[in-house]
Amino acid sequence: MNDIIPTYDVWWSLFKLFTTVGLVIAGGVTLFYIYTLFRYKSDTTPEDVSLREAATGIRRILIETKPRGVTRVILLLTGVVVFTLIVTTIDETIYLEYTPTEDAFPVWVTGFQFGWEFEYEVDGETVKTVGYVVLPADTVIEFKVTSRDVFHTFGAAEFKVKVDAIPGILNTMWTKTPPEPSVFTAYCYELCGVGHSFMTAKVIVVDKDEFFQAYNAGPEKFKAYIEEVAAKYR
Amino acid sequence: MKAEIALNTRNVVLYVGVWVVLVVSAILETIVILEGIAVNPLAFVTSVAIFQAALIALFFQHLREEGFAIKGMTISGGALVAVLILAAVTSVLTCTPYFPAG
Amino acid sequence: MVNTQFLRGFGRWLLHWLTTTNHKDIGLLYLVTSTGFLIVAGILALLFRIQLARPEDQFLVGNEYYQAVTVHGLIMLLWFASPFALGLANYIVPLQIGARDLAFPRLNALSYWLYLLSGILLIMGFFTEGGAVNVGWTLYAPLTSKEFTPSVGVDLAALAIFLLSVSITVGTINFLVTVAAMRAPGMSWMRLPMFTWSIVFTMILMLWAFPPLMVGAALLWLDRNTSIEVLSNPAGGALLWDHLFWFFGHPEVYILLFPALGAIADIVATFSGRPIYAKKYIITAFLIATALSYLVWMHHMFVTGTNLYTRLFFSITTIFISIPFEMATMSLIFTMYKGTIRFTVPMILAAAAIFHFILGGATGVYLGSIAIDKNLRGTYWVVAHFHYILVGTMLLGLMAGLYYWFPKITGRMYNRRLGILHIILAVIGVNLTFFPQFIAYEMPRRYFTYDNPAWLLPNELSTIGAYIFGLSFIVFLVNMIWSAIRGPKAPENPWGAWTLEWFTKSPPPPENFEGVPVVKNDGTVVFVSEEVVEKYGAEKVVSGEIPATALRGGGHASNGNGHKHHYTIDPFLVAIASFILLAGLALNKVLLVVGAAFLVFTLIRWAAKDVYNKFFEPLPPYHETWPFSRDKIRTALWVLVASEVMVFGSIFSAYFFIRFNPVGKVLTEAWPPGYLIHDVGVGLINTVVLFTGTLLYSLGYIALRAGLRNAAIAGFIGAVFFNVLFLVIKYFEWGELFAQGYGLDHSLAMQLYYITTGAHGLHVFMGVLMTLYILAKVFANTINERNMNEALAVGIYWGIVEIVWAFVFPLFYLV
Repeated sequence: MNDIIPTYDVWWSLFKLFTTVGLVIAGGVTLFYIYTLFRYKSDTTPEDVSLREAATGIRRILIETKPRGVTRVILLLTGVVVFTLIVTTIDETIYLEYTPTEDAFPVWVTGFQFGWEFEYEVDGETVKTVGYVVLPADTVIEFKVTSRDVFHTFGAAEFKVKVDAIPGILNTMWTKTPPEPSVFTAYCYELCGVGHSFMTAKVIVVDKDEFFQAYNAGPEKFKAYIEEVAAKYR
Repeated sequence: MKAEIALNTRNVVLYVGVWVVLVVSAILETIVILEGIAVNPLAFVTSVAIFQAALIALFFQHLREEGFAIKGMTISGGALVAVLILAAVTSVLTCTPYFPAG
Repeated sequence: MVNTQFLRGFGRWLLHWLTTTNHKDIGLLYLVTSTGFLIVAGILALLFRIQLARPEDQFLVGNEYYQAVTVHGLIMLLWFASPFALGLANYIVPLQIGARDLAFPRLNALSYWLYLLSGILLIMGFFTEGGAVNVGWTLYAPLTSKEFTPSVGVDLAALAIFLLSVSITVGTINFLVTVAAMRAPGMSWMRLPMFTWSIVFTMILMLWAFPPLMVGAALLWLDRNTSIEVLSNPAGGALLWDHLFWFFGHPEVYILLFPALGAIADIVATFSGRPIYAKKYIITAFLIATALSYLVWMHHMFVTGTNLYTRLFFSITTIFISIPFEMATMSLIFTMYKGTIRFTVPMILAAAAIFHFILGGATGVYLGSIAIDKNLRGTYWVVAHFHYILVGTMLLGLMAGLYYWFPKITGRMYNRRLGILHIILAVIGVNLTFFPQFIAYEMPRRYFTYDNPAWLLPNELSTIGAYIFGLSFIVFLVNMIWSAIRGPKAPENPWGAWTLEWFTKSPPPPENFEGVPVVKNDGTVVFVSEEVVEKYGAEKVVSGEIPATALRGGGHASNGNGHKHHYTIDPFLVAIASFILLAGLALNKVLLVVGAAFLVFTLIRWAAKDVYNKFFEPLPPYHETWPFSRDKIRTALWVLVASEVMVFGSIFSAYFFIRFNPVGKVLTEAWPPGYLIHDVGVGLINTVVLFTGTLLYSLGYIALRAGLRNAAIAGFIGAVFFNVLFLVIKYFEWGELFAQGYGLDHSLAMQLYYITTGAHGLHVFMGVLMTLYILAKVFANTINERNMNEALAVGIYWGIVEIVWAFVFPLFYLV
């Protein structure tokens, strides 16, 4: 499981790629644009002069300035860049879509107005928490997300992935937890009613060994363990 | 005047002919479906309906007399409907139905 | 005495604006009204920016906050942005193509009044219990259902959107026909200015984007007020709404953007002293963007967990759509390159808008990647991106357009100093408001509190920026109002521009041009009298093969009805009646009945005048119409048919979606074949009845053409008879189904059956009314060679009614 690249790393690499390409292209265009604006600025002052010299003579319709070959070159170049962007990111897109390992730790997530309910399956029994989830560090987690009432979106900035919670449908989303214990917030990213702003959940990442020790000790011990962990962060 | 009358007579025959084709195709498709002959009923009736729609458009709506712009616009409208239906259906086909307990 | 005189003057003034159908008047009405809506929505934005400046503020929270956010979005997109562009288009497009007015001036007035009243319908929500619509401008199902949001504000919003869609569809037909069939002699498509081109593409986008929204709004209303649950049941529900809404929603972005880009292109060309660079490329770019914009909507659904390969297709189209826009931007910059740039107020504003467009466009490419969108979806990155496009590019671009055409519209010059002050404040405002939102890129949207300290500073800056932008708007308004009254007089062509609107007086006379504008082969524009064009033929005038003496003087247009006869109160009355009807649907049954009765009355009033051809004005024979026919009503009906195809296409997409949705199969078992529920025999008989009705109408039309009056009457009466028979059979069929327990609450399949056949029945009913109108004209002997095409147009309408049934019968009765 150690060779699995976490979702947040994949996201950052793509974000950097797009930013580099964007800076080169948009930056180049902008520089050329600024140069044009200053270089070809007319010396005549705008409104007042034209008012005095109101054109009355020939009324003539002009159609276009003929394009030069450079236009086609630019078109071709952008086409190539865009095509490369698509091709190079398809693999990452598919990678983020499907859980890369069968050993992923499953957590069921159910959105409701206004909160998140999490379910673990421990020895065939279900352990529920509401408003917080305790996860082992450095582990691939598979969230199975749905909604009990309206359209929500589950995600956390630290995962850099999110998925919609839609009533009647089970969506999966995988992520790899950070290597060290930490605490952060999961949000709802789709307007789901007047309490949308309060629809958050604490994500508590704990030491992997400690977590699985409790997990393997059976449902009751596990429930007590996660409640104890959560109490620390209230 | 004679030419006009001849043209009109031809048009009357044409319209009645199209009408006969429409009615017969509707009856036939009903029989085919009720007898369970069609392999894929949905695709079959959709094809028949597109055939009927083309007949109606070309003759009763006089589409064949219009220029390429109007023809193109009509076909584009139909194509967009196909895109909407195809995307909507394919997008949802692989979804997993699930209803949480409680 | 003074008082009564004042009242009389006021009455005349009011009557003028209520009854005008002149495109320039309607254009002004659009501009003023949409600015009013802009102020309302802008104030809402300023209110919620106060709330967001601090993490835990209690200024505007909960329901109130979401009302403000939702109405801000809806008004800005639907009731400000496109109507403002429509205002400019109304005023400028006929001038740019050399037409005297739009093709259907009364429908234009109807569009305007429906637009105004639909906006009032939406805002009325604030004064109801529970307040205005508060579910976000995207109106995601199933939050919009009665179970989760019971307030009547959502009903009002659904009805308002429905009414607006009607207004937009009417306007679309009007503009497309105008540009297709009313261009001045010699005004070929390539000679059309970029602004007109952009409006053409905007209209093509509106034509097919709004029907799904209209259907969605109707489904939403039905869902909330009947036992229909197409949107609240998980088998249709969230994903179906997503598809319908975003099929509208993404083209809508380009609907907003295109007019601004067109205005910017005209401005840049004029003030660079050279025509637009590579016009063929830029038009092709617009065309590609238009086509692609219908193929990108699912990028709003990248995290819905739907089929990956469907989403990948949409990811590719989305990233590809950046190419045409890059092309358009380069074309604008190359126009300036090697030009002589005059930095007038509109030019500076347009230049700033291009900057914002580059930034807003580049940040949007990120959202085209599914992988990157997984983190950015629903965050302030998205907010910042589309506000750079919508405020930074669209709003500033349209404002630049208003400055540019201000001398033409008002006949006076704006104040340059105030203009510069406005630009400085606006550019600082836009960037200070929206750039910090890129920095808070992971903050969830639509939160009124937030807990991350890193988001505090961006939000504070954003609020300050919003107020600076608000201030810039006050400067703008002062400039516009003061200059319109006191500004120095503007000449005909203050910029030395080379498009047709500058070759007439500022402001233009009611008939726009003195004489007929003719663009000769070398591009020079001459104004000749109508008699001369008719005498020598448009082609000869264009090629210059007429004696020079014929050109002299120009002279007034002699076209039959002057503009005086075009005043009518009918559009206003029809709009008011529709408004009362819809308000009644949401609020009060008495209003509903009053509105319906009033609507029937006003429609009859309208039609009665047309029976006697009171407003009949055939197109003069000299317009450029290639590649369309000279017949504007026929073209208009085809545009309507294209839009109807999408209306029923949207309903059928709901049918197929629900039928194939695995969630539906779990919930309701498989969809039962139609023949198990419906009486196939009755359906088949009804099919034949409907086909026969259309056949008889067509035969009647042939008879009319051939001058066989009695045969024509027989054909039309037969058409009415068979279509009424169709409705009667349908009525008993519905009754029977209800009696057998196949009512609305039976299943989604039955609900869709009632929705589809109901919508179709409504179309049959309207067709019957139209046929009765033609019959009345035959009886009154007012149909002749010149307006025979009205009868053909009704035939085209019957065709689409029949085509829809060709799908309804097998899909519902058989399979």
